[in-house]
Amino acid sequence: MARGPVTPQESDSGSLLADATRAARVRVWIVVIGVLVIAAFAGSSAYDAWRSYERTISANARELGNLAKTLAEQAQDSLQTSDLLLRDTVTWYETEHPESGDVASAKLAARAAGLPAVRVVSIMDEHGVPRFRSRELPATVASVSDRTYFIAQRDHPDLGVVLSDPLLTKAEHRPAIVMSRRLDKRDGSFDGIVQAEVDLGAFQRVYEAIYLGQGSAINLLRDDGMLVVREPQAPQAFGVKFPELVAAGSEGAGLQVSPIDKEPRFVGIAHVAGFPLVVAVTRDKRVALEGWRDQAYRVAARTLILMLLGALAIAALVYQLRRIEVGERALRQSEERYALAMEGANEGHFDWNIADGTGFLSPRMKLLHGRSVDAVVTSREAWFAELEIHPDDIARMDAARRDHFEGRTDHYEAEHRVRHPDGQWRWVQSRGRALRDGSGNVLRFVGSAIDITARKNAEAEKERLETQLRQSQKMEAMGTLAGGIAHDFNNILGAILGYGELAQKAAPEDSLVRRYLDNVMHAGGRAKALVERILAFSRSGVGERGPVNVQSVIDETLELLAASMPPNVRLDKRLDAGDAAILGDATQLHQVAMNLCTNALQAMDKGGVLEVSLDRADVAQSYRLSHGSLVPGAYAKLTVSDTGGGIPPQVLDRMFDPFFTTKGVGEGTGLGLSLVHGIVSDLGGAIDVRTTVGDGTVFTIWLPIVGEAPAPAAKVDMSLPHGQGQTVLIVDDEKPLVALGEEILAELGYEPVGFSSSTAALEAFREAPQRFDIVLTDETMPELTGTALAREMQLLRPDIPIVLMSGYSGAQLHERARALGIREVLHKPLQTKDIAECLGRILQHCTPAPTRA
Amino acid sequence: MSDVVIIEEDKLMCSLLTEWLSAEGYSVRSVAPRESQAANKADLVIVDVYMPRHEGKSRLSAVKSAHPETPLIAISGQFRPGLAGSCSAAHALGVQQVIAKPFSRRDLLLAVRNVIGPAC
Repeated sequence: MARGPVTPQESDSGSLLADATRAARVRVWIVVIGVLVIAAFAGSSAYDAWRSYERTISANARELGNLAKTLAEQAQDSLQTSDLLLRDTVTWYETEHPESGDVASAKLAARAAGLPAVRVVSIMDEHGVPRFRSRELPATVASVSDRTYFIAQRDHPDLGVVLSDPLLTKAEHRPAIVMSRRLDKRDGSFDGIVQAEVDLGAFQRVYEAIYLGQGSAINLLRDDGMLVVREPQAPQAFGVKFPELVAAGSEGAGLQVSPIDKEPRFVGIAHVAGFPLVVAVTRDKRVALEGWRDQAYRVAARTLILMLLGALAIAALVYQLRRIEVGERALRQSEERYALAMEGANEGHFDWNIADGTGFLSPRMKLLHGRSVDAVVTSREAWFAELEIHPDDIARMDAARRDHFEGRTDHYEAEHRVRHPDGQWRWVQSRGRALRDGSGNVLRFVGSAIDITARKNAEAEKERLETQLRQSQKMEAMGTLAGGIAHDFNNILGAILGYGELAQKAAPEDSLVRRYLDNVMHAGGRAKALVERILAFSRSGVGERGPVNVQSVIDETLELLAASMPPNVRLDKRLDAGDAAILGDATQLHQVAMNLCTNALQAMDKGGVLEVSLDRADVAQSYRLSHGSLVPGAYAKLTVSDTGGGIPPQVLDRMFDPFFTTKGVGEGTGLGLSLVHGIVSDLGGAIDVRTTVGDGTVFTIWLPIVGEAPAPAAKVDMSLPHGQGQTVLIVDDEKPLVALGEEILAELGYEPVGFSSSTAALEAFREAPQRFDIVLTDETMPELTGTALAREMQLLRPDIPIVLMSGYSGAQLHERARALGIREVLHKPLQTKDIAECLGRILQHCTPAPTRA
Repeated sequence: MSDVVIIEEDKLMCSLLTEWLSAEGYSVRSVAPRESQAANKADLVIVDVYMPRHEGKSRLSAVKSAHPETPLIAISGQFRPGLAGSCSAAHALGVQQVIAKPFSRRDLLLAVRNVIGPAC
């Protein structure tokens, strides 16, 4: 059953429907064919009956026709013989004219002797009075002049032989036909007739001898239809005319409806040649067809029974088909339910024949393993050969199957990963059971499989979240602890260092006490650094956040690092992040880079390559790293890799824990990486660690980019106002800031003169007040504050432009500055742009040239 | 005389700050945190912020309301070093300068001078 994996229900119900209609069509066909067969059978039976009917009819017609002909010939014989007698008698009588009655009677008797049918031969005179007869009759007959045949003979000289109507003889009252011929005198006048009474009883007897069966009759009729003789006898019909009987068929046989009783019957007719007589043999149709009818009834009964049996057979067949179909449908439905249940449960199933390696795999099973539904599976080996099972899972799978096959487990259950064509590993859980023969050998191995990737992922995710939660709880506790410690420690350290400093000052130089105090201060300094680190990793410190140009900080860190780099380590640096800025503070970033690089260098005590790269990376979808996870967005990606010994797994798990160290006691604090972790987490970033024991380690730090920030010492923009070699006095107690200021001023086209002491600066100014065109001074300085210095300088040269630099912009400072006539207050940290614009503004208004002159 | 009020629970720390500032000629008064409301008018308030993330803000607000016009210097054992001078978050709370503990005498004096100038 081909089934698309996408919409199984739809296609299944569709096929079910198609099956049902197909089955219904088959049933209809069976019924139609059955009915046709039965109809053909009935038709053939009917045809047989009809043929048999036809045959019966024609047989009857033939029989009756033949019989009629035979009888007609017999009648003709008999009548011709009688006629011959009459002719002979006419000839004798006309020539001899006998007078004596006895002689004539004897002569007549002698002539009639050979003819049994002729009862009596008589000669009548011209008045119809008997003259002679062949024998004496019991009663005397007066005259036959009333008879029609006599009248006919008397009136018509040339009639020849005339047959009378059937009549009862006058003397004996017997049914007879009288045959007569005319006697002529010499002159040709009527001399009477000679007549022979043909006894109809003779015919009757002949006819009686022929047995025709019931419903049949033999009739001798005159050709005008008058009944002469009938067998069986029907005295009431004697002399009655049946012209239809004669008219129907002039000769031969046919079917007629009886004029008497309206019964249809067969009639065979033959004319008696030479005489106006007809023999008609009739048989009732009912009787004639009796045999046929019996046969037809039998056939009909047989046919009906067979038809009934046929119909029953068809009904039984259809019923059986229906039952089979219902059974099949139930089976199909059951199968489908099972398949749907399997699909609903996302389960595939398998059935391996262990003996020959063949087997059945459900479509879902194939899909589960990343194969197409119509993949052909020839054998178990081939199936597994084409799958890519995760190498870590093969042994476990095999062991589980072996354990089950060898009877150690009740059922087989294993979880394994399989690679799908898209390259993804999917988790599959399979369960099964072996079917064994009597001696415990495995014959079949049947079971099901389910995709548990989601569950596995969820489990992993849960575990990860739990770990994360534990970690963050740990960190929070640590943070609270560290915060508390830092607070107290810093107070204690503050007092130690503060009083220490006072004591240091109070102690005489080069004294023993001074040296002791120096050591106390040194130790205090170390403690201070430690507390700083604790604050950093515990993320409990409070710092400022602002955009930090990542690249400049990393670059700076690497420059610092280069100074302390062992000679056998090469530094490969590739920084491509441009002006990408993160939100944090530069110190944190510096600490991160420094710690990672220091660790890397320590991992390569036998030399190697330290590779540091920085670039931008856009993350399109959430991504989990070994430590933390990324949400989509832009990141600065800092990669620090070494070619050292790598990190062993047991260390990998704990390396970010505070105070965990692989170094000897006293060599490290174990805070380096925890500090990195704390800071990176604080900055909203994540860490990815890839390490191979023996091959080195790669730390990748992902930090979210918030925008762009120029590097603090970015190249001077030529669009900024530039000086024309004016001399600028710059004072700051911080030497690096003086150096930075000088650098900026030089680049802007000024001649900088820097001092890190306000008194020294005042000294220089006092010596040559006109040498300087403008003064930039920091406000917060130990000896002389910026405003104090400004006051002194203004005493020396009131028109000197002075700019105050301050890290703090209080309203009071501005007021004080304005009161002193200080032109502007610049805010630290110094920006090239601010300095350039400030100097440009001031020097444009007071041209330096005249003052210099 | 510039009046400086110090709000610091740690007695040792408090006496150290008093010593340093007195030596520079500032008039120093130490006030317990709970009495900060009752403090008299001063030129500068130095306040220790314990747990800056949690209660720092409320303490600073309390001090600020007691000394509305007075500049503030916040000190804390939980500030990260390098923060001094430009902490915008602190500025938003009305703090002119923040100093991370432990700090040297110079750090403190620079900060104080920066805010209210030398003792006069």
